[in-house]
Amino acid sequence: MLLNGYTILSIFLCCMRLLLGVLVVVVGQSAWRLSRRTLEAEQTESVENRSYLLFLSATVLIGLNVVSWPILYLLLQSYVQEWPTVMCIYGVTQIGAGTVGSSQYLPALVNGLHWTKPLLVFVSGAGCVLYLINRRTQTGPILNRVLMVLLLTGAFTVVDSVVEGAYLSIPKKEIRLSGGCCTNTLETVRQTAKFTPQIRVDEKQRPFLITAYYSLNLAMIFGLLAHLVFSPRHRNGKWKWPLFVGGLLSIPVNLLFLVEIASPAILGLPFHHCPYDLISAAPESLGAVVLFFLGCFSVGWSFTAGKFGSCDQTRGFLQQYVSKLLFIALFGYSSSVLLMSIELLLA
Amino acid sequence: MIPKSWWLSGLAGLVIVTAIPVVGHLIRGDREGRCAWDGLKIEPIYQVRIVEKPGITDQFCCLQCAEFWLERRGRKPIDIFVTDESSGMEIEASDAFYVRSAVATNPVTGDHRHVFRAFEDAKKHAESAHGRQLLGDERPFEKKRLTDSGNPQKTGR
Repeated sequence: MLLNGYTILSIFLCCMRLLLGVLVVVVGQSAWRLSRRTLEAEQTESVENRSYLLFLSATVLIGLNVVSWPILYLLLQSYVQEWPTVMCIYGVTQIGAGTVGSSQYLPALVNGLHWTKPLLVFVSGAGCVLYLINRRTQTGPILNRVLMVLLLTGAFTVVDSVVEGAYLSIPKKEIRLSGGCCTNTLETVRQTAKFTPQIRVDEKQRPFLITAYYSLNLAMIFGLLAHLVFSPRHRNGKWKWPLFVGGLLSIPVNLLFLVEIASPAILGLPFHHCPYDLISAAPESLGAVVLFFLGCFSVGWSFTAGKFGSCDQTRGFLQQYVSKLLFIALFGYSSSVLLMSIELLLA
Repeated sequence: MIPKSWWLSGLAGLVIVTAIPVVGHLIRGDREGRCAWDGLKIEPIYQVRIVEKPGITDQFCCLQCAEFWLERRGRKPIDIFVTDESSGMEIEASDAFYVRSAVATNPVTGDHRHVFRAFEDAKKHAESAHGRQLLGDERPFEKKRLTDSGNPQKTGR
């Protein structure tokens, strides 16, 4: 195990999240089962008491989940100096590839974390949104749904912390089957090639990707603006589904644009398609990534609030919540596109 | 539905966001002395310089990066200059002697090739670092013919 300050911090966060995740799952599932039945006064009080512990634990857990996402990348960045052949986080994620022993699982584990972290933040945020909606009501009519989402959050957290714990604990020592001084130089050259990210989009496809990026993001911005301006007057939710689908589509398009177009341009390295280098070379450009995720997740949270937060008691204020979330999404998308465009102009 | 203060705050946020990349660029400045292929800092004694067109020059941290660059570009450059490791002087790539040895030029790219202006320096390095001279097709940047005379060879010109 590579031990430095970030490793210790990550281990601590991992243990805390695992414990809280298990607590949320255990307490949450019993509260959820009780809440589904028609209860007497004593049982209702029991559900409420468990809910306080659950909501307190879930609040801390949500905060730790959000913090663990950037900490992962700070941890990976701290590992870069451990290997002379590695120059950025991408190289760290390739450590263990093509080896035997436990280190062969390292790339899969860390690549899995790239997906579980944002998913966890999204689910955590959805739970938070539904909880806030439920709190404003008199009798907590959507408690079941809140508990279900918090259970999901707890379960995802357990999975994520186990994966992260495995990655941290597996020794980062590459053991290979081949060896010997005669093959060493050639083997080294072959191995160093794996630390360079591949290029996925060729010159002919670049204009299409640029067009797709701006078309989709501008469509989202105008769609959100139109929904905020027109929907409250007409009281219909016909913009919800297109916005939700647009938000889903925008994820792969924006990520591909970041890797294939933005990173080489901002770094000034036309054949180096590695967004991880932006962390050290142009850290302010990552603001565009953060703002994009804020926008994209806000669309998802507003959809969740509209779909799962709707009932008689929430009818009076739910539209306001949804509108505020969509406003945050509008800010996220527009500032992300603006920041990215200025970075590309200055590059 | 959205309070006016939110719209004003959003606009203020956009103005701040506009300033962020400008400030970032001013603080960072230009990234000079970096390899045009992978952005690594260039060690002066290993520098390779490719003149693509008059006035357009790219610098690289090692021979491997320069070769990757030429392969991707697909265009023949006007000239290629490499650096003699003994003196630090720049020389034409076709005039240089190349040695592959156990000493890495660049640990990230895995390049183990060294450049020398004088045959004696190349031979000395090859003997001391478990290396051998690169001849014929093995020499970087050139389309080569193999020779076996054992004399110092520079081919392709």
